[in-house]
Amino acid sequence: MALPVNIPHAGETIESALKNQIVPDQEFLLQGSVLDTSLPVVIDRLRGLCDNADIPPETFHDHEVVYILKDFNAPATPGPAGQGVMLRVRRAVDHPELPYQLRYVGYPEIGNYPAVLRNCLDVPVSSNVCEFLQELGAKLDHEFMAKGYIMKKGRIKVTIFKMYKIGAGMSKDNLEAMTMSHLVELSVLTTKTDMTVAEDLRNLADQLKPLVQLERLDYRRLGPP
Amino acid sequence: MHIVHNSETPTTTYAILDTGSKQVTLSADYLFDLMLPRLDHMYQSKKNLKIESKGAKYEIGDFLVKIGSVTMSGHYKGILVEVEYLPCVTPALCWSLVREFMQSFMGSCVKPTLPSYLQTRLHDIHTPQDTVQQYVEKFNEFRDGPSFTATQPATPAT
Repeated sequence: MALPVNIPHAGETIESALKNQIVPDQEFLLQGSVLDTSLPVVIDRLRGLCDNADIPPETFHDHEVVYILKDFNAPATPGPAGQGVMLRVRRAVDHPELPYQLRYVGYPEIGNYPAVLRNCLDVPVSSNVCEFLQELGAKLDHEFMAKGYIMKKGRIKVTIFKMYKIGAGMSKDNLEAMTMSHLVELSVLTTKTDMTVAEDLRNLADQLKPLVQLERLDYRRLGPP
Repeated sequence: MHIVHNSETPTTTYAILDTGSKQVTLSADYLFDLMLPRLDHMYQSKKNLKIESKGAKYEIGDFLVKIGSVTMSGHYKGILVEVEYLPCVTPALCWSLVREFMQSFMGSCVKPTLPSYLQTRLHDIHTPQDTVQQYVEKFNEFRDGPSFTATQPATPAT
């Protein structure tokens, strides 16, 4: 006999979260870079600043493929509409059992924020996501490997990684580095209603000076992608 | 593209892309629904095209039976019956059992032949994706055809 139990559907809870603007879809980001020679110093400093200082930092090895979804037949128009939407697929090379991550990253918000603020959405997906995106009409833009360390301090995510090229004849252990330095990223996911965490991000960044200059990058100055 | 939610897997969204030549089913977290509005320069949802099957769920021994009334944009369309035989994951090994079970309470409207969806996948392991794909197939029949009673002879669950 079926009992009339009323369980709220996941959709209802997500809808109410949307209505109250508590979906964590905003990301604050600060970026900087450090030369490989200074890497151990930065890692030691960060271990002291972040949580779990007693254990070695967790490593990661990710493969990221970036797709662009837009109307490729339309004439090129300046502005976000003509550039389409960038969709990033990330998979952990060292943990093949984990789901792939599909990430939407929006354009940075204009305004006086202490860090880059952008719309961001992470969705765990099944491993046929690349085939799915291609069928959707998205085109492969570029791909790379990222290898490095991840730490956290409260809600802030700290990653120090190096980007590697992907090409023919390159195996997991034989990668060609793109630069002689590591990228340092501080990021935190927050909601539209909670902007205070950006200050914590700024404080952590200030404590890394002068080893790493973490800046709010102005992407518009870099020119169109 | 069809977006399907199944109450058995409440935090998963299934996106089924049908290009005519092939079908790609993506299983994603429920947050995928929030990503869709961001693709609105390419894809827009068709208004008023929501089909729902809602009803009671029964467990009889190893069988799971879901009897849902199908509504399309609020209009009643028919009844959909889903039968799952839990201990088995390949349709080939339990189809006759499922068929006999269904005939015992639905009589002659259960066809003795295998549903077309399962014919090519008889020896594959049945996954939740296969279940939602069969739902989409049945929903399309409901949408295109007049009101009638169809059966959804699903199948083993993982």
